[in-house]
Amino acid sequence: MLGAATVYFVAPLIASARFSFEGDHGSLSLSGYTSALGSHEFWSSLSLSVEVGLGAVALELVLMLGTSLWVYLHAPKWRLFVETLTLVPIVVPVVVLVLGVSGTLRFLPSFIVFTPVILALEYVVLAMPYAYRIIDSGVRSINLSTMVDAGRSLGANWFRVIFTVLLPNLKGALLGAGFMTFGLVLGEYVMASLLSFNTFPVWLETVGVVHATEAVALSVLSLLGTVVVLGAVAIVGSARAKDRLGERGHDKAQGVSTVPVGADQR
Amino acid sequence: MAIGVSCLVRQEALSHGLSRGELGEIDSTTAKLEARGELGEIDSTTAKLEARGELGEIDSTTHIDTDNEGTGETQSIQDAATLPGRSGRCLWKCPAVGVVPLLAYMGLFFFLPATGVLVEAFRSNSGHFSLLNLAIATHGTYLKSLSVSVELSTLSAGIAAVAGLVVVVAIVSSPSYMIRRVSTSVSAVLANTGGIPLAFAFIATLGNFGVITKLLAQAGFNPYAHGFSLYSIIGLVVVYQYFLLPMMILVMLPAVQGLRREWSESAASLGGTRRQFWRYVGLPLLAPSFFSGLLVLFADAFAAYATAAAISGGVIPLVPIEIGNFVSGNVIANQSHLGDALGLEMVVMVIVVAVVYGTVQHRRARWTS
Repeated sequence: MLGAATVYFVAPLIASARFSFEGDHGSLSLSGYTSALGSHEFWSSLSLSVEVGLGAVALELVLMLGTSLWVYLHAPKWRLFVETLTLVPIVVPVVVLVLGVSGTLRFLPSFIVFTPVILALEYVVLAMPYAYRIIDSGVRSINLSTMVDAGRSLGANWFRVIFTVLLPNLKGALLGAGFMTFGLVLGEYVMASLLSFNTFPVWLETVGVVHATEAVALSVLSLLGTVVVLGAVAIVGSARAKDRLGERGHDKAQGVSTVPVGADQR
Repeated sequence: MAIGVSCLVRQEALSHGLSRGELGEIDSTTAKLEARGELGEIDSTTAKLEARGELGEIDSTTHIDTDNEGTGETQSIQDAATLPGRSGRCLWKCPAVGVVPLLAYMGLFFFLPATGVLVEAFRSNSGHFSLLNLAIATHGTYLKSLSVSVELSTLSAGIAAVAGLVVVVAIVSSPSYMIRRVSTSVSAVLANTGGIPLAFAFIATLGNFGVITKLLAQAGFNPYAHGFSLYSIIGLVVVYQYFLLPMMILVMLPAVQGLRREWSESAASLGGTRRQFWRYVGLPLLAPSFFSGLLVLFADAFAAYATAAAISGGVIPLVPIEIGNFVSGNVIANQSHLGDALGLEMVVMVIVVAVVYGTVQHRRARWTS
């Protein structure tokens, strides 16, 4: 049974790798990769995705960290409310949210609605259920109020407490949430395509219609990229957990860093 | 923790009837001591303090003090205590203030568009209340797409759930430690795949000119000559397994690992057979996890858009793809609110699944606690 499952999961990877090296008359060739990577549109769509991703990550981290710290230190009664609120976007499929965005948000200034800015803003909402949980569990795992009290009583102002005490201690959680959000943005197709922004997945889909080899070559690279990034996050997470909690914390940290967020990309 | 300790000190201070200056001192002492880990000394400090001030004043001091935490206020506690009164304070110190940015953000970029869909679904083209859109959305071609969507999600979730359970049992009973360790990480990675790259990988594998298709055809068995097509519902079911199966593994692995060996041993020592153990103990214990996993998979498959769009090119009528057509404007103009009605239909579907999921989780919590 395990063997059959392994074949099912490995076969498409090998087959598409083989497909991507297809040259003329069945010869092996790198032309799929060279022409894809040499294309101007590849770089422009990828850089659009990266820009939107960085914007969404920055906004997400500030909003989630700020809310989570406030709730922990100052408004513990609001915790259940905020947890529920950040979870709600799961109930609305992306395609329905796009429907609302294109219909209802028309009144916003055009430099928001008709530029990729709207994508970054909406991706913050899509990533929120996962990002909030990662950051909040990070905030709750350190002895936050002791750190704040100690820092404050030693004369640090709030700015200093946040930047020299809290952020370094929350690095793992912030990295995890950041990578997660960035990965979601790089793979998100539905909203970008329906709002007609040429991000990487949208461009990839249009290439696939005409140049199958190139599209498959890029898909192979993109699947490998997912594996590498997620692997890196898992390794960072588990190494940190070992530092902090010893062996027992390992599984828990891994669970946090590898929340399946693919749902929004399909 | 620190809040807890300082509260304790404050309570003792109250019972001793302290004046406010000294209260401030204790607070900073507490924090410093804690920073060094010398908690033991605090109690003796408190004990030495004299009983002097009036209770009423101290009460207000402590109140202001707790409010100060987390506001970026640099004043000392004594200064805060000299503030005139409650008037105007709530603006900055009330606990709700810090939640406002999140609420505003969610309100503008999530709740407003979502309610927009909800409201528009009940509106006719002339802007009046109407149930016409919902009526159209649940009849004819749209009913057909709903049933195709449900069929696709049920089939792929069902297959993935059963196969996932079998794989999990195989993983747990495998003697190799490596397999058990690696399978979680691998599943977590695979559960994150999907979308356009996965669609193309499968087109390269099992598509018309896919590598495996060619190999099979050379071996004398062309799957396309035997009723298979990647660009059909069956094809999508095959592709969806790629992310649904790993998700099921992630859901079921902890549950199956949680079946303690003592349980099967005690069942055996009471004279039960292996079969009876599974029938009366094992499966009933796994049932809630299995069922909630099934619901997660169903919701995931139901909402999937990109994979289906890239593989079928929009040929297979699915609810998400119909909605997409409304957004991109590939539809007849006088049905502008029909997309909203379909959206509402989808949200209702997901909410029903979520409610059932919550109920199942509740039952599971009863068992495992």
